[in-house]
Amino acid sequence: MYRLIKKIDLLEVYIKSFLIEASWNFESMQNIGFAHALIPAGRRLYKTREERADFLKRHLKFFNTHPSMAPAIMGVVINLEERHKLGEAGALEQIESVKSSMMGPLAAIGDNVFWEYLRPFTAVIGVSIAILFKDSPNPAIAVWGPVIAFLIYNLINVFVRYRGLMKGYEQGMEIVEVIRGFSLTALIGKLKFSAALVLGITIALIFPALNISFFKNSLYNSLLFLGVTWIFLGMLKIKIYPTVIFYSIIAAAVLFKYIF
Amino acid sequence: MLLEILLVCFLAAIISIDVRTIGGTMLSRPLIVGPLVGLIMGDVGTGFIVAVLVELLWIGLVPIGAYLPVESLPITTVTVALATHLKDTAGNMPQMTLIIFALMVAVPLGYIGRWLETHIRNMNSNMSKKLIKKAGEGRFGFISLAQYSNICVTFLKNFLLCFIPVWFGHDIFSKIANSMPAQVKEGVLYSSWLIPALGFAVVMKIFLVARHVKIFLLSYSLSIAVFFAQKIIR
Repeated sequence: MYRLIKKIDLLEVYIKSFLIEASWNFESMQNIGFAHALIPAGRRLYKTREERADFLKRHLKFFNTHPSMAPAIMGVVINLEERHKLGEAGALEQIESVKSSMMGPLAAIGDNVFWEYLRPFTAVIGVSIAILFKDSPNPAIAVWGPVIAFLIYNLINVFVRYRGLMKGYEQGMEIVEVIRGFSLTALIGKLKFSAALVLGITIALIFPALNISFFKNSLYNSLLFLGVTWIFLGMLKIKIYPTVIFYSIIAAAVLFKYIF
Repeated sequence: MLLEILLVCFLAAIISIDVRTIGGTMLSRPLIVGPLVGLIMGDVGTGFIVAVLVELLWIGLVPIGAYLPVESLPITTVTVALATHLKDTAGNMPQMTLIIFALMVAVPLGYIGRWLETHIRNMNSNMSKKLIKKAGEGRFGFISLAQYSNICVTFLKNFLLCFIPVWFGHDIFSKIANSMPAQVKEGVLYSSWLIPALGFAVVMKIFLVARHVKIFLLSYSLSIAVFFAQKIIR
């Protein structure tokens, strides 16, 4: 550990790993970003042209995973590259199999946790705070909505990336177990539960912020909003796109106004 | 006006680098872009409402595998810019009507952005092939060059995608919006609370599993109860 690679190289890899999707392409996906992130390690390990050419050829092959999970794979690969440079037999063959065997499962975890649940969840929190406090006596609280959403998402995002890279480098393939140890999938259950709570509160109390005043009794206004939301939920469930519903709503409202 | 628009488009383009390159932190989400653009245009309130609407409506679309979602960044930027401009030229319309007019114009930009992105990525495929050929030279510089030129392309794409419609469209847009018949304006106002409802439906589709419907209804009724209890005490 840290026999050739220095901590500063890993930190540089960490920063560059954020750019992994910059040159995303349909053919080899994140290959350029992956190679780019590994450059600091390559520069440290290999000095001759031939070695660097081989290094680039190894890492410009097809690669695709979730961006927050990629640093973990980079860590393992750097570990193996270091061992290869130190003359360990078989390390080179392992690199290819490590990349192809890790990217699938980690992409599944990452897509599921970060994009399907964590991002919508932080958005719900942010949106709820922003909309409920928008017209309150203290509207400055609304600003905390986006700020809190940004912080929750990125505390987890930055943590998982950093730990992934460092532990990946230190522990090699065991990193998959380490990431399982973060119990990210257990997080999804908690996110769903809290989202249900927050959605209940927001949908119940949103009608003053939206100026819904069809009925004198505000209970009916609140129930009206809930009912309409449920109807749209049904439409979304039968796979009508939000954009289609968006334009249909406006068209229907204008038409309604013309008729009545 | 020109300065504001340039500033807004510059900001959007800078933030757009986050969308694909920094791997999507929350920074490029409408929730954050909306208020920032609103701040520059001098109307944070409009920024917030647009942020909430756009954030909710397209939250369910995520870039998994090779799928490209609708780009919410140009939608947010252009909506806020147009809505605040329209407010200055047509002060008699309610805020929500302005926003929804602007949103109707801006939504196709999200699809144009996605279409452009497809082309950029096809170009990247050629670049990837060239880089693999060049790898034999063993120079790391080419890779960095490819990365940074791609960041510039993303910047330019989003700058133009926001600037062209706002700069060339804002006068035509406010003329059209102002000459709309009264029925259209009122109809649009009717739809103004239905669109947030659609937004919440999108989120509920993600989160509300059958197991949690009870919790949702419980927190809904508790909130309502507290709301009325507060009213009675007052």
